[in-house]
Amino acid sequence: MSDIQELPDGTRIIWAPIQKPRPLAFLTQVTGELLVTFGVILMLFVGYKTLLQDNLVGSTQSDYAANFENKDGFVPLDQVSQPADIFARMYVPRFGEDWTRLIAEGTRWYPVLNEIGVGRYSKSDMPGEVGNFAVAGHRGGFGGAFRDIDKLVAGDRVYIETKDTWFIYKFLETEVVKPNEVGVIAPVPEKLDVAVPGGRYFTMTSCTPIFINTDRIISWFELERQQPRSAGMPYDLKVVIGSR
Amino acid sequence: MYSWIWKKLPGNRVLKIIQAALLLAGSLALMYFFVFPFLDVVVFPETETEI
Repeated sequence: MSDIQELPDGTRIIWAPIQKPRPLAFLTQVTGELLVTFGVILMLFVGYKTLLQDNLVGSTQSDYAANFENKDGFVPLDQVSQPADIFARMYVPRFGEDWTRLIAEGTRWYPVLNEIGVGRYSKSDMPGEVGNFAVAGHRGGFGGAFRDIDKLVAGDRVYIETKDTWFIYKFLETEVVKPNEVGVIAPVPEKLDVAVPGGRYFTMTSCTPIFINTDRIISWFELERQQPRSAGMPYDLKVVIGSR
Repeated sequence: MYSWIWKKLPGNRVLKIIQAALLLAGSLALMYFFVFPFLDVVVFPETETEI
């Protein structure tokens, strides 16, 4: 790019060309940098969705659920009518001692699944009733309410706290099905071998494999016992989560 | 674009590096606290799980 002239005494003169403005080159460079920046932002977004959001939003949902009663109180089970009515709080010790979520009516994404955390299928039954109380929750992203649904094992309990009653459900089994196999949340759940008419079941549904979401993972429970809310937190739950 | 920003930053090289790091941190915070939560609603719009 430059000419070098050497004088007899050894001095070297470097003749550099004057840079002419090259608008096209400048435009190309800026466009390229913007595209690379956009790519990096997309990768950051993927990292946000997969690694960060479940921790941030998840702990927000847990805190909101843990402190909910102080402000409003649950909608009584026989008065649930509007979408997003919050009528229960659930505890699953298997998901961690800090894990808790509110359960709202309906399965819309906003605000139920994405902000509150867990939603009841409106056509299913209410907690404690004969039939099937079925809920949905995200597996990953938006707080990942049911991220660890595949970790449930025999002996696990789910504790449902409503306005007047605690319902304690005992884990039965987990099955992976296709999204169109909606019989799994029927009053007598299809594919649940031990299901009998008249049983009181609780069904958790979520997506699987995590972040691929081509199938649905279904976990069934049956009612083990119930107690009035005035009797306080079930003793076995209190042992798990301490005095929180 | 980035070389233009680099030239505009005042001070010697050490100061420039500090300022560039601050700019980067600011952009990341903007992404995580404002852009990404907004983008989330755009990429995953309202839907209802069918049963």
